[in-house]
Amino acid sequence: MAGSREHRESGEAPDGGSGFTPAPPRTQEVRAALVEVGASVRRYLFGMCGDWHRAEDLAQEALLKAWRKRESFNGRSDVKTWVFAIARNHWVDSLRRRASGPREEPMIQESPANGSSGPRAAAERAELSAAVRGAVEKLPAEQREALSLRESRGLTFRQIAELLGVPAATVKSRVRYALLKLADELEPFRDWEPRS
Amino acid sequence: MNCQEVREQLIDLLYGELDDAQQRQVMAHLDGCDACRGELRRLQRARSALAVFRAGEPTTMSVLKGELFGTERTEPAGRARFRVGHWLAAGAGVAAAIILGWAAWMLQGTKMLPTASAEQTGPVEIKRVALSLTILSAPPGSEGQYPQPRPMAAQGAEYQSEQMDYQVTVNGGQALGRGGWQGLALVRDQRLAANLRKGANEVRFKGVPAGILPDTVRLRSLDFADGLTIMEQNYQYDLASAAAVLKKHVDKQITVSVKDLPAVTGELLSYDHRNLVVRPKGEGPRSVSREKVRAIAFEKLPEGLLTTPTLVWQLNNKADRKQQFEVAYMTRGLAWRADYVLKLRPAVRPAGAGAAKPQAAGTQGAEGAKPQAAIPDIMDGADLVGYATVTNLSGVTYENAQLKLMAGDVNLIQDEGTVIHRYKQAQEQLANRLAEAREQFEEKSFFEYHLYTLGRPTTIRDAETKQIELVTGEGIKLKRGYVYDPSVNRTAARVVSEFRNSEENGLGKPMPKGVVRLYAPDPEGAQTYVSQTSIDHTPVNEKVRLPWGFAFDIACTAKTTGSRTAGDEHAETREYELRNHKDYGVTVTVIFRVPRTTYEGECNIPWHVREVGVVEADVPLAPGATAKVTFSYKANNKTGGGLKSPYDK
Repeated sequence: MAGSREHRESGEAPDGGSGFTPAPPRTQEVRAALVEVGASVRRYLFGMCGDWHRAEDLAQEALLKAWRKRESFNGRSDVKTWVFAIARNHWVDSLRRRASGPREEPMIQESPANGSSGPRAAAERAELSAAVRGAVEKLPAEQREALSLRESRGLTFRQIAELLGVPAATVKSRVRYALLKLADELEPFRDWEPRS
Repeated sequence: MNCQEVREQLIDLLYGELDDAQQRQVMAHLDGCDACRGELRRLQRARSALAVFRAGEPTTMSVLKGELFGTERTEPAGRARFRVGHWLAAGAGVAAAIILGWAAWMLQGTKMLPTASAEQTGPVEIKRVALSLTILSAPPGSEGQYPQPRPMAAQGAEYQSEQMDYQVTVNGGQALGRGGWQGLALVRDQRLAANLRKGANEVRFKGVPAGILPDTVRLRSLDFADGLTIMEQNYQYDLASAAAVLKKHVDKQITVSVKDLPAVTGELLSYDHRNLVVRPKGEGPRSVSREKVRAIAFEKLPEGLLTTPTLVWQLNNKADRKQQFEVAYMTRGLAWRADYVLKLRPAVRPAGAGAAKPQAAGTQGAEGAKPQAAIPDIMDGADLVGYATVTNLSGVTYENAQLKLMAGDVNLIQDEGTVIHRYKQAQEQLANRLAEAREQFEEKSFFEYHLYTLGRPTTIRDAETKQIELVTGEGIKLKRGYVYDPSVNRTAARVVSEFRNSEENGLGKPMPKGVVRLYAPDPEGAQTYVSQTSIDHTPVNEKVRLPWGFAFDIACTAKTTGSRTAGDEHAETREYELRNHKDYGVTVTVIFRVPRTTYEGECNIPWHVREVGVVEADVPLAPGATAKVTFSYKANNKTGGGLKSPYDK
């Protein structure tokens, strides 16, 4: 992914333009961004791995990485995009580690227990949840990533485009196709209505 | 707009990224196009399903667990842990609301615009807009217990202010100073929360004083009262004082630098104010005298400790807009009192003083038989300045505060109960009345109190005593008088100055209770401190009577010359002798005290009853003159009774 390479650089390279003067202190900015997007980063990683426990660990590691290299944030890109770029690289790295290391069994997801009570509703929810998981896993990688990023509620389409290094229209169409595919896959559940 | 264009924008609409105009266009098209509406419904259904898939999402998230503050301390932030759960919950709630809204729209065909705010996240920023401080005067009985900055005492306090000169201990949630009046003030802090989101918000409010009374904290919206509800209010005051940090490090690793010895690193087993017991790894425990300790190094600030007390609210904002709100609370550590300086002007010789001298011998032995009306009143000129002395030991600096000082002694428990009782009474009354009666607050007199409002904002720093001018009067006319009351002093008459608190007299503002210091010019004209007294709260147009010391040149004696009881009848005669050694004439008011309610009195000069059991007579005394005043009374013990009225002193 060309975009990934580009953002890796902007995320890690120290500010080379200024020569003698050190990079401006952006610590506060980074700290605020970490707090602000922490949950979004976790939500994005959940979208990618489908496991909240793993998403939590990955998010913590990614945020720690971002914090440790806060000096390298140069303010040229949006700070949130910068944090997400680090999270994204961390996700790619973790896939690589997984591929070489021993395979872990994914944790069993608890069935979503919130919302309306009653065994029937719970069963319907669990069934729907499993179906969505299957449908998400079937999505092409690019679409799944775009959808996960947008559903994380941390970034706008424009910021995602910056992160992925593709035009915003491309991001939108990836999300659109992903959602339409999900809708098709979930056709058997069309009568299901969200209830609180 | 054709279907192709609309379909490109549906995704923006779905995620709330259209501006109002675009949104209207898309909605207009959707109204008339079943196909596009169908696509939107499919997209929406997929998003709703994703929300179900995400349902196991944890509600809180600890970002970096202390790492953010472990390496540097650029801001005095308290907890080494951020909780983003509430923002998260807020976001999820809003998202759910939008999903439901869309479902409703799709089912019923009614329009419902998605709110853009669903995408906003981040801590609520609050900006101070205005600050008002109302400091109460000390309750009766607490005179002389005005809070004073004092050097920090030995160890043992739970927490203390950073300035280390004021110490409070926590006592069942109430911070109580060491004895005496610790001040009481109402703080009204108006803040603007520009990015308050719709739904749940966490607002952290720093800079609250250590002496805050947490149960008096109130928060209300100033511009949309119904739209803001408080779900939870927390006062976090586990401060990172040396004692608290030590306490949290029991069983943890610390490094102690000791004078003349190598540093000790080990587990802290226990501590008291004299020793630390540390067990270095692999060795036995070692006791270290705290006197020898140079420094203790801790690994990091333990979680949950704050560097400043903090108020944390969970607010539910029903309106999707910024909110200006007001936080009102009462706190200790802020007190004020009034101090007056009365400077007598250089003495004007009382009229006729020089001329009166030759006649002095002639009036000898007058015994008051001939009233000497010729003695003029002695008038002194004086300048009065009243200061409000404000002391801030609350631990917080109040910048640009509107300062209001409240005077009055209403409804505080006076004789019984502890200081806490007084605090509670005052606190409840004032918090209730002040928080709810905003308009009246502007008035000068409020309920039974008087408010002194400083016209300009002022900054009251922590650990500062500030004096602000309260009242001034120039050229006040003081009437000098002499009062002889043997029950106060058997041999001398008291000097009393009397003036009216009126506009004609250069005054005319209510004068709060306070200490008056009198300065008088000495013969060389330099102002010399003469005497000190106190005045009570004095309304406008009331007379202020200032008792000073006793007159040097007026000698007085008192004796009972006859006392006779026959059956129920009781008769008594008293005789006062007064000698004026001044070179000018004076009028001395003599006081006879009669321990009866009804009696028959008789005096050799005109007399009148001032109050029950107190008889007064004015005795004019020419220079060098001696006067004898006799007063006798007859009373029936059965009908007159003994006098036990509170008026009788």
